[in-house]
Amino acid sequence: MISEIGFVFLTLTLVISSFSFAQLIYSHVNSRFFVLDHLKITNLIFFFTLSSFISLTYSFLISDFSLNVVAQNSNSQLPTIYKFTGVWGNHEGSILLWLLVMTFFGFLFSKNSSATEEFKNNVLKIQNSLCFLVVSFIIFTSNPFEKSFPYPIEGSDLNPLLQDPGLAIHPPFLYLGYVGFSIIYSISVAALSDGVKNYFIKILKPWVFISWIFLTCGIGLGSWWAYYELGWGGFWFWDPVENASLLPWLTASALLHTIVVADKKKIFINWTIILSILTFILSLLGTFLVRSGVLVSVHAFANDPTRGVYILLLLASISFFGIFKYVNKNIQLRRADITLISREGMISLNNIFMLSLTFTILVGTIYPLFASVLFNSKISVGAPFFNSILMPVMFPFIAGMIIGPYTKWGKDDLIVLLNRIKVLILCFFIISLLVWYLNYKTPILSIIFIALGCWIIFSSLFEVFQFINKKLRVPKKIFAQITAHIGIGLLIIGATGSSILKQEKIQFQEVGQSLKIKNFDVEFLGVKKIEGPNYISQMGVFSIKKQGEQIKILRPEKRFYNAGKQVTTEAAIHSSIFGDLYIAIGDVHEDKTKWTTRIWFNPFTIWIWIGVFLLASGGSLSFLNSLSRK
Amino acid sequence: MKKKNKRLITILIFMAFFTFGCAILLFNLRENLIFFYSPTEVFEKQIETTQMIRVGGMVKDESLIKKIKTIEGRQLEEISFIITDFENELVISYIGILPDLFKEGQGVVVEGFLKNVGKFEAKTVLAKHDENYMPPEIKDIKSIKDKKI
Repeated sequence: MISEIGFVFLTLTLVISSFSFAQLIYSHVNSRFFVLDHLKITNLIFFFTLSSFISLTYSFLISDFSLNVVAQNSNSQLPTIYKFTGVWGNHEGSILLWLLVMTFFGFLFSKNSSATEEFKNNVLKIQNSLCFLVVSFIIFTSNPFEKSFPYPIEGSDLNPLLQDPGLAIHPPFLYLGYVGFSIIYSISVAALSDGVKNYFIKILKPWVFISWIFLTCGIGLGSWWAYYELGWGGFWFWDPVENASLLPWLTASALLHTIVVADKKKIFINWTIILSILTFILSLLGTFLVRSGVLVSVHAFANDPTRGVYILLLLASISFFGIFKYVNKNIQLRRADITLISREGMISLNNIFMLSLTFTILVGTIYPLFASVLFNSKISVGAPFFNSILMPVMFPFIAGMIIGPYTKWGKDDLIVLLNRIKVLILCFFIISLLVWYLNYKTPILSIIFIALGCWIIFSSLFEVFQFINKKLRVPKKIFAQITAHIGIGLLIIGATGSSILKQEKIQFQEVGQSLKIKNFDVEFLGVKKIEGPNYISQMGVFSIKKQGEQIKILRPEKRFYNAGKQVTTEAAIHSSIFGDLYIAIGDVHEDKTKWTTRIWFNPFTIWIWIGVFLLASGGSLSFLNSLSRK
Repeated sequence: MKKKNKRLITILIFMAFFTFGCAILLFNLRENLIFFYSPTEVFEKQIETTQMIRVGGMVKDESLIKKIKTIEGRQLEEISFIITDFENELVISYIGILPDLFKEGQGVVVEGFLKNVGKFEAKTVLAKHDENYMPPEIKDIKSIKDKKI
């Protein structure tokens, strides 16, 4: 019963949002005959989608197996929390979540007071039309309220890999980021037909920050989950799906820098709009790649080709509409003369590098797709490609990141600039020597990158020092920038440590046998059988000793899920600021005394997560700042 | 005129950089491509033993063998199994922990190097997130498709 109501609400969303869509398409027809209040439509579709989502959630919570999605992705044994998160642990539900977020952003925007009514109306017309496209996609290709008949008494299971708190919150965050870019798209496209008055930058700014923060957290959470759940000991695999989320993140980061200039100097307005449109297109491309299954990826979901075609059409029409509006814009913008050695110049440089990276990763990600269509060859692009491309780009990028904040707006002089940061340059030498002295045995590449990471952190701290030295308070804007940049520095150190400096040991380990890795002694104490709510687990017990003293007991598991007959690995990790000791347990040998164990030491991994946290905090500070200045 | 010249130079420099960048990109891409083959293709084509490739097919039933191997004083478990496209078979050896979703009778993709004829040393056994999923590469192998239908 509840599920039928959910479907009715979904249909209502389709019908009502179609009004907005119709008016968008027939906007040249005299609109006096067709006056619509798009704000009201936005409110309505938000509440309808919310109701629809709640009824689906309810169906999951009561384990209503008459619904296909519930029967296939849930189980009555499942702990309540995973019944709840199971709502978006499948294609249909997750697209409904996507729609919910989309209408939610529209709803939030309609409550935003700074825009004029007319502008709001124009923006929401586009936003509602986007919602229309998504809701029609849901109803025609992936209806979560589809009934199964005769329905099963017991459901199959939620994929055990998804039965984890990290993954439970990863998709909503990722979607809040991905879909947040829809409102950025709507604002930018609306601004194009509105004659781009500068005030739209002020309206756009907080949305850019909020979406970027969520996307950053979403990617960070996904990476963290992959790290501790998959038992591969890594955090980033250059998998197509990961790349797909990185692409809009890169352009959004470029946008983040540009919009600051656009707001302050009233230049780069054009560029801001292009980036906004591009970012949303890339988000959609990401969705297409994930949901259509055209690419070979570890994130494989059982797919349906018609969905792929539909998303591709959606992608094409939304891109076309954005480009069409851009070409037909009715504005004249003043050209800006920019010199390289200035804040504007440095930010342009940042954008050039960000976009080159985006382009490269895009090519690497979709090249296999072209190859399979054009040459009928099955290939994949390996991680070495991305690493080899990323590394050379990092050097100028980091240099720009260090110099950038010290340049002046307008015009600056290289000599004067160098003079201004001479103390800093001296410090760089000392840091580099120190890093080299502490790590001289390790590969040269790791020394370089760790030194560069330290440079970024130090130059950011030096900024703070300069303010304190002049007895000034650090402005909020600068503080946000410093926080985020320190985050990047930590991220570089963490990524270097856990990729280049990683140590791995894999072996049969007998009960009672002790192994040495880094300065830890890992003693295997045996395996216990544990019964969880819906799984049976074989839990290895390892005693971690440092100089003969036990510091921790680690318990990696191999879980066997009853309902789906699936096995998952739960790695056990001992984190410290110097690195993670990471243990995964495999199968038992026939003689029942030896087990395959895989032990890693991943230096500095914890700094990756701290880096991501600082990035998000920096973004949040900027966001609060952009709100309070209105 | 002068202003126009300056702009032209800027554009030329930009184009030069762009072309240079693309050249590096494509060169790198070509170096790092990993080709996918079915077991039959492995036998038909001349594949260098230094080239990293991917091979995919179905894991043959009851072909999984685990042996103990000692390398550098440590005992290791060497796993070997056979993948087949129902025409040809290839013996895969692998040292490590198999992904959780690895099962006999199911599709699998491995990445590594071809040793000698019919033997393949896997560096990675690619894991999938979903048990119902069949990699499109495997699904497209003709002989497997025929068998399924």
